[in-house]
Amino acid sequence: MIPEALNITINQILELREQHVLGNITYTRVALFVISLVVAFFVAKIVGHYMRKKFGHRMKKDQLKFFIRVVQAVIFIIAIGIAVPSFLDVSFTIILIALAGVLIVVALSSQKVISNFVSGVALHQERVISAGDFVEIGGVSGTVEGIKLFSTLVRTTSGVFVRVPNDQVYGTQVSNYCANCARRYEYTLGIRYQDDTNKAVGLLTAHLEKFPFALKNPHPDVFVSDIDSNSVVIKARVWFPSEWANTRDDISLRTGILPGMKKTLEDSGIELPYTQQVVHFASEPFSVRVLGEKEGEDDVPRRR
Amino acid sequence: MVVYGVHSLPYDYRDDLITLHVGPEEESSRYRRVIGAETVEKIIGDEEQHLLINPVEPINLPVPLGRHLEIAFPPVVLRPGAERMIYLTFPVEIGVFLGWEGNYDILDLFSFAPVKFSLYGTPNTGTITRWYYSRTHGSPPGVDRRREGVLELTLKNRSADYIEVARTIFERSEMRIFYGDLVAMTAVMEIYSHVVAQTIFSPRQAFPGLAESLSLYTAQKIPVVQHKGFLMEHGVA
Repeated sequence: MIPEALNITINQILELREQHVLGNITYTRVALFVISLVVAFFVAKIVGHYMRKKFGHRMKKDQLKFFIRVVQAVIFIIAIGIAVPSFLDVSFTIILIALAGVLIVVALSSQKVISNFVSGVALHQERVISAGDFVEIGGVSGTVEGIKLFSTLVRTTSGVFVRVPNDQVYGTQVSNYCANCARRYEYTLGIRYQDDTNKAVGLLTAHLEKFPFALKNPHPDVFVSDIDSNSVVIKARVWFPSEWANTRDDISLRTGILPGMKKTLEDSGIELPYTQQVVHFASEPFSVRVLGEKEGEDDVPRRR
Repeated sequence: MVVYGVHSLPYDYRDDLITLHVGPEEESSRYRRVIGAETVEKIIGDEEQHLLINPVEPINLPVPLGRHLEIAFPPVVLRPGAERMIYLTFPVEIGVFLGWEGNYDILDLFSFAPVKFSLYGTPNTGTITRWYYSRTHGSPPGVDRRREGVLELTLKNRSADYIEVARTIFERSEMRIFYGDLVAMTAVMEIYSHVVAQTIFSPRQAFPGLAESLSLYTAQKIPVVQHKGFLMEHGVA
């Protein structure tokens, strides 16, 4: 037995089914439209879950998250594209026209936003950088925290949080220090002219060999690169593991290696020269003409 | 020598290289390890009863960089189809674990072996390895088991050419280290060309009476994808 009050409610609902909300659109059609959107929502969720399982170990976390969102958005747009003409009595042509109009308005009013979004998609596609990489983007260097829909977040070595718009990342030069597993650094030292360059090269090579993070292969390359006005210039090219080098900035890498190289040379009696210039005077006495003397008075210039 | 195995607490050990003390001290239980000028001291729970000391995969110190151990050795020339067993040495890292059977966790990690890193392959496609140089031996060499272990390596030339082999590379999740009177591993290196080879660890013990080590990645419950051997694609010499 259905209580009378409830019976009335059910009857009212049944009558309501065929009532028109707007034009030919009935409550039933509105309900079906809403249900189809709910179904699309759950389908998007299931697809996202499946993608996470399927590609979780193949893609980086932030890239996967981005692509799941894009796929879910596409599913939702398709669902709306099917549900609107089916249930809301709107023809597909009108939807396309409306959509085109909306797109034109949006495109004109938010060029920058769309540019950032498209650049974000391109960055994910090209995989130039990803979360955790140590990069330099147009003068900003640091670790990528994540590539969002419209911007890339970078944490600099000094701890500053920088937001770089995606279109700027895409349009500028990007250096990724994590793309390769090894990085080369160059160190320069000058020694005196009278010091033995071969000995200095040998000592520096042996010193770098002992340093655990200077890679065995490629071997450190130490050579005389120049003979300048003050010193004989020796360069050392050393490869380090990127993962190790990226945890240090350039300054600490230099201050950590160079003092050891200097000490190695000094312990063996090879000194780093002061900036100096040796002036040699000609062995012949030179003459100076004293200004103010009458010319022709004395053919031999006076020495002062 | 450091006594590998499970020890009941309190535990004290001293030799020319290391001093270990684990036990009650100043109203709390402490772990203290002294190597040269370096001292590591930690307060541990009074309820701790066991300590496990064993060699672990030697790629963790001074900082874990990469997952591979590279052993370079004097070149060995193999004729086509030849098989040859050689003995190499590898660096030992010693792990100190706290806990009980099946549930040990790392407390300390130290090593007396020298550290050097290298690049196997090119910077863009290669891999960073912990590099170690070993002499080649025809029989198990006598080594200080605090510093070095013995690797029994079977070289198999599967190619139709004479191949010169001077290095071998192993992946951490593959390593099976055994300990007792010495620290040992057993592996096979199948060489397919001058460029490509595969290294696989053997589950069998090369030497009798050894126990299998608890690896660090197992103790730390680090999820790893188990590979069947490591494929060397950047040369064997």
